[in-house]
Amino acid sequence: MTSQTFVVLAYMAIWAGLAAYVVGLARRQHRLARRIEALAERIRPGEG
Amino acid sequence: MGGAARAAYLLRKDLRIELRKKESVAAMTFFGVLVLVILNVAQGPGRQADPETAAGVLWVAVIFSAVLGLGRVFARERENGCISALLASPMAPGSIFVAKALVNLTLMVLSQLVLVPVFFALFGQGLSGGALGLVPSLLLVDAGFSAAGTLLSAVSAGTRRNEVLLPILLFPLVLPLVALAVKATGAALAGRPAPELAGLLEPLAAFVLIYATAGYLLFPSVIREG
Amino acid sequence: MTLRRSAILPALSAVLVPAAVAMVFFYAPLERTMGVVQKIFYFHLPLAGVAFLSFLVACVSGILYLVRRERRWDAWGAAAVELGVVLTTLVLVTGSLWGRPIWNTWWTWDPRLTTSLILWFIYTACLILRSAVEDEGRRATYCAVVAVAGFVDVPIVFLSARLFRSIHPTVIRSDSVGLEPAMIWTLLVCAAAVLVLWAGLLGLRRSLHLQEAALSDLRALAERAR
Repeated sequence: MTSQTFVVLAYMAIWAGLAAYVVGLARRQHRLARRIEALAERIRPGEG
Repeated sequence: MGGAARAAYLLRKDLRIELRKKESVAAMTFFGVLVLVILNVAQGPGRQADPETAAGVLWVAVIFSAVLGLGRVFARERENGCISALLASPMAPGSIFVAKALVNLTLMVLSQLVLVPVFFALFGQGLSGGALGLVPSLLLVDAGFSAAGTLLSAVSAGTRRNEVLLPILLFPLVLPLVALAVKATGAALAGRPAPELAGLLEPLAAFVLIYATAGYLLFPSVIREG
Repeated sequence: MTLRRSAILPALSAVLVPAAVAMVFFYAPLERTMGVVQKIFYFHLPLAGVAFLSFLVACVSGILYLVRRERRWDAWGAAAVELGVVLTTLVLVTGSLWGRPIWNTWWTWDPRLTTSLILWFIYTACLILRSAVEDEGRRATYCAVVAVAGFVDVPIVFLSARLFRSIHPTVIRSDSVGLEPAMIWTLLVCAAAVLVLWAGLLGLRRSLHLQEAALSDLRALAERAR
């Protein structure tokens, strides 16, 4: 492995790592939105 | 009763319980000896460990056996619902911390009275330093380990995964303690002069001071969560 | 609880990050001794600094929570711990990838890397602890205590790692190479990019935490209203 490979790997690791985290956050946000919807559904029909 | 007197009272009560039943001390010591034996076997037959490697072995046995004792300290209190009783008493939470930490310290010292001779029996060939040089670092690490360990065992006792969580939380914190202790002990076992050892002990003392203080300040918040 | 979503931080990130990367590869001169591998340093160092900052925020938030017992401090703390762990992971990975071609080793007990490693263990343990506690108040208290106790360890870790090294003079020194002005500018832009990125993600994570907590509240209310 040449020196260039290490640099490339390092930068790829940085952006992949950060991107993975951001994607994780986004998915969690979506799950939250779905749960809010579900809760709203439960409350709305119940109050007729 | 003043704060110190109350702490002393709690300390005596706990020690009486621990020493009468001997379950914690016995388990700790037994486990420590087991670890020493396993590591002796693991290093291969007929091999002689150099002073620093031997020091490392001793400290692995010490901290693994100590974590076992720590885990029991609050587990027993929770089982009997004693925590609420302690909180209802006029005893300051800080004094409870001091008492518990001293109990742990005593248990560690007692188990080491057995572990150190066993260690020398298994790993002692070729080591020039005697057991006496180990005493300062042992005491300092025991104190530091007890201070941080008492605080964190109160935290882990309040969780679902108590036994697993305590080493996970405690070991990273005490890593510098162990590293320095290995250096100091290794030097002692190699027969190095005293002034050299003293310099290595200063950060250990700093650790003890910092965690005694931090533990005293943070413990009340933890214990009030029940 | 208003959740202002200002677009400043994301916009700044979108500008700074590409600018920083461009500067690293097209503006900064090639370093004499280490060659192109040295370019890892431009992000490795800011990542380490901002990770440390994140843990400092976690520690301060922890103290504020223990004193004020307000949910928002737990939100900042939880976000800061998580981001700190993510960034520290990147620090360790980039540090390893930097060290390997230069000093032919994947790891070195350099004080800063050692501190990063221990911090990674401490705060990952903190995250595991969070997942093991159901009750919000207790979880927040425990996390705060661990965040503070963990951060307090930092000076000791650093000191002991330095002591460790002074006894092993063969351990390699890291980035003490002189920096030309162009390099310093590149470093500053990279630092700004990482800082802005961190601040943005911190705010996002914190608001996610608050939203999830609010949802739990609503659910509890809905259950009781049945």
